[in-house]
Amino acid sequence: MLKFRKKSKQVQPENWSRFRRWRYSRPFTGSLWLMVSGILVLWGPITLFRLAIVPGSTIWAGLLIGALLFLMGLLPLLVPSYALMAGAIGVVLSLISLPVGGGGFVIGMILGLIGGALSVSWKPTVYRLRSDSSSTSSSTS
Amino acid sequence: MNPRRIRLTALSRRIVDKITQPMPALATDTIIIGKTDRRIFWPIMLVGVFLMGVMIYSFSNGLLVLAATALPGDFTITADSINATNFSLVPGAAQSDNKTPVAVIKMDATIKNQVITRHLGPITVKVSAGNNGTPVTVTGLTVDATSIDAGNAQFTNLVLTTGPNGDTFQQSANTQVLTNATINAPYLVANSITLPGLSVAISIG
Repeated sequence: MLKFRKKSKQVQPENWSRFRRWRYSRPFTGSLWLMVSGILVLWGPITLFRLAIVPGSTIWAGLLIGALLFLMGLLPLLVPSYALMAGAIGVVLSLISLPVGGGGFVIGMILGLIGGALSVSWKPTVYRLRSDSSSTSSSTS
Repeated sequence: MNPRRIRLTALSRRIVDKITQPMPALATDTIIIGKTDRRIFWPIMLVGVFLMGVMIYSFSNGLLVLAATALPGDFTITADSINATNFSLVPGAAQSDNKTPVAVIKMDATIKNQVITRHLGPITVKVSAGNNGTPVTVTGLTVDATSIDAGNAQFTNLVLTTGPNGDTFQQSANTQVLTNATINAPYLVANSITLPGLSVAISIG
């Protein structure tokens, strides 16, 4: 069992599609969860959008937190080197989203937590493509 | 070509590459493959879930009050007595959907034995407060009410005004006492509220 898992971890990016290469060069899953959580946190406040400026309401804070969460998911997708920063901010924001925005029905909060942690723990390594297979893949694509 | 010159250009090119392209993976024969480092992921998740649990535990009452009053949809307020000052009642459209006709009530109030009941699908949330001596005090309370029932209503300095066409209507009073009141409301907001003896109960059905 252990041997099998180790074997499956062997990467062969020479045969990967272009999307898969792009996906692996950034914290894709973490960003996705963070964006979903941002949308979920925004959902509640947006239905009450007209009341955002009523004094005493905290709807604007929910809008802010949701938008920032979404941004923190989008950012490492575009610039992978921000993964650590955006993920850490995302974790904190998803925790804050509970008192100000109802936590995106709590599901959004949990997703944001997972996404942020995935983004922080994303570790890039440089992989040198083998020239023979790389030439074949470039000829096919 | 002079071999020395070639070496120099190669070197300068490498330096320029190093400055402008900090990621070596931008070269054509390498790519970046990122992986989740579990030794970082799980500690963060552990701390995050712990903090989440602490927050949910400590906010649970407040969150249920929020769920009972701030989410769109109908809820019921019942009270043994509502002592209101600076009371005004204006008909209007509900702020939660801008369609349902409601009475917009604004008041500062002390409420005895207040119970807010909210049906969220199959779940019933019941928030009760002010039932052991100290009443609930609210300032700047705004309620969109779809129906108001009171066993007894008392007003002082009651003023009823109608608009120029007679199609609008406003009721205001300095003080107002409603006993055994039941208010159906889709929306409630308050500037400040104290809820002594707050208890929250959830039941299914």
